[in-house]
Amino acid sequence: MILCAAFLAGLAVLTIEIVGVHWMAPWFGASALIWSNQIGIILFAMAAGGWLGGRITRKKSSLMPYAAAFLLIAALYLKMGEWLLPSFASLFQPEGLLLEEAAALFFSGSLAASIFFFALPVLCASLVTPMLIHEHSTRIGNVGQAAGEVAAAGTLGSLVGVFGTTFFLLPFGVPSTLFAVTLALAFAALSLCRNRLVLALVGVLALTSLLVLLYPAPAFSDLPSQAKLLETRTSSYQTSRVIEQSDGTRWLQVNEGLDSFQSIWKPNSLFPGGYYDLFALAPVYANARNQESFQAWLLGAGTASAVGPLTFPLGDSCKWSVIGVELDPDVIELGQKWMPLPEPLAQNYTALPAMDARAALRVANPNSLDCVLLDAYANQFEIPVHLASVEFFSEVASRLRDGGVFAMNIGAAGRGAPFLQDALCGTLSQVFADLRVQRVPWSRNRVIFARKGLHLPPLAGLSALLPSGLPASLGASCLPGQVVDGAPKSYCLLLDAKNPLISLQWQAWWEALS
Amino acid sequence: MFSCLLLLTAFFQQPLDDAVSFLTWNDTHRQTESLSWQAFTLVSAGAEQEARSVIRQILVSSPDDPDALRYSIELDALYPKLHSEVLQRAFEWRSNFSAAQPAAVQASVSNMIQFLETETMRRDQLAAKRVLLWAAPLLGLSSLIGAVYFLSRRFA
Repeated sequence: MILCAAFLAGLAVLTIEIVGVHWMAPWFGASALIWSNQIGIILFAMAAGGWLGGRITRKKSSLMPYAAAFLLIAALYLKMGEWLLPSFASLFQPEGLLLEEAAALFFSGSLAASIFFFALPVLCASLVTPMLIHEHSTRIGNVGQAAGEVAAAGTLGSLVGVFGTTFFLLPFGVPSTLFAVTLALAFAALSLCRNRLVLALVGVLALTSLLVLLYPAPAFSDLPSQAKLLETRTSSYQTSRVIEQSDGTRWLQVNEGLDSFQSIWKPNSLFPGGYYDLFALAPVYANARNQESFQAWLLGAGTASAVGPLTFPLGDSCKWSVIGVELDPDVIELGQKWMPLPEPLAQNYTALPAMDARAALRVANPNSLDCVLLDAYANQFEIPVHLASVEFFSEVASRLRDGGVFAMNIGAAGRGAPFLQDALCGTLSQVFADLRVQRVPWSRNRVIFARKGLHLPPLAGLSALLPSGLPASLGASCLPGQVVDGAPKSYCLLLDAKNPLISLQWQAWWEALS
Repeated sequence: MFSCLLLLTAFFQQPLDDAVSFLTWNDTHRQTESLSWQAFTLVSAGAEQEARSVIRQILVSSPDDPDALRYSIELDALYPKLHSEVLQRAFEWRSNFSAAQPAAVQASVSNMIQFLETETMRRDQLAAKRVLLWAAPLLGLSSLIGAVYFLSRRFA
């Protein structure tokens, strides 16, 4: 039973670590800094718990009741946190918070939440380990063997916790995962001791669980004003929701949402607005408008918001196909249900779910694609680093035909934004013959266009290349004042082995309250 | 003949109809239009840099041009950090020029002022949260270390 308790305690610690970030994601997102906060605090709590457990074993003779009590305290604290964390997290997300104001609040808030809600349960689960080793060594007569067996059991439990949480528990939602952790801790406690104190604590835990079930705390951040929630889903990747604005426009938002969106859909319009409309320039720049066939890939396709603008400029007789790669299958399903493509477009669009963009792109034939669009933001703030390096851009270029165009959305605000833009453009210039950055009207976004082997069409006379019916704001984005042509003079090169993109992005977003 | 037809077509198209008409207007007609009309069209389409350049030209010769001042306010309102200053300018504009403006323009400026007031209040409340940035993690860490110390003394 000692090894069983060690196994379950290890399982609980890793499950708390993983589910904690998913639990906080609706308020703080799940970016790399949030993960760092969580892992750092968990490790600190494990160290403190181990030290404290060792001190307890020096002075107490009968340790199992204490071990059981601490495991139950961990479970109880977690249950109370399930009710309190939403209110706590909301302190760091005042009404109307904009994405560009949120970075520092998210970092600080997630750090504080990790300390207040996850450190103590992990500390309690960790301080039983020295007690278990002490008890086990007393029984088998060898400290080293006991330490090894308890450590192995705990680590195996952690292993099961990692895979079990991601693949089996989180798809059922955060509350179910927390319930599983609570059960594991309670079972571990009961396996060690069943005295009156322990049974009383189990009773309190059961009662608290019932109360939390009957009176759940609000689980998600506030909707934008006048918006209606259509559906919410939680996956191993993120929490997603579809909301409908008063004018019928629908947004797909992930995690903390705020004023940002992952995808947009407008009824009766191929042009969702924002940076999506500028993707209509990609086939124009690739000189693909009058081709008989057209092939493109969307990396980070979401609900395929880019398909309408991307294919609008193509001729009526053009046979086109677009493949969209999207990591989260829930996003694709939500898109098909609430943000569907019109039927003629849906027939020629194929979604590849549950695939990483870079790995998926290797399936495309070399020199076969007319356009590749990249709109893969992880956690609102971050372009994944493996999708922004010389090596990745080279892979993209190898799939494009000569003259093909790569387009990339970047969103950034604040003083650091130019450094981020320059790093991406400079890195792209190592691979592509010509590039252009166009500012999206009324937005903090830019779209970078890069062409393989050939120059982009000059801005002067661009109107002759465009079809009619494109939004006027797209025309505005083509004026010289909204455009930066060519590579920057100095920049930070992004490589797979050395990529400061995360710090550049956080530097760009770190403009909260000044 | 073809180019004449094209020019005629462009002439009868409004610049904000679509991207082609906007760019055609910009390439062929813009320089012949009044600065005020240029500013209006550029602001409406979202061509911020070009719009600001035209607004500057207007204000050099007519510092009190109400339309140019209004467009300038609209463009600066895109930047949250400027909201307090823009709000002040919006109040000044309303007291100086509003009475002589069409009802639609007056309503537009009133809505702008309402938005800026709400945003300014919101940002003030947000700034007050600055203390949370360092206080919450510090309090949490202190509590955690305190709990460890307490437990070590309790069970030592």
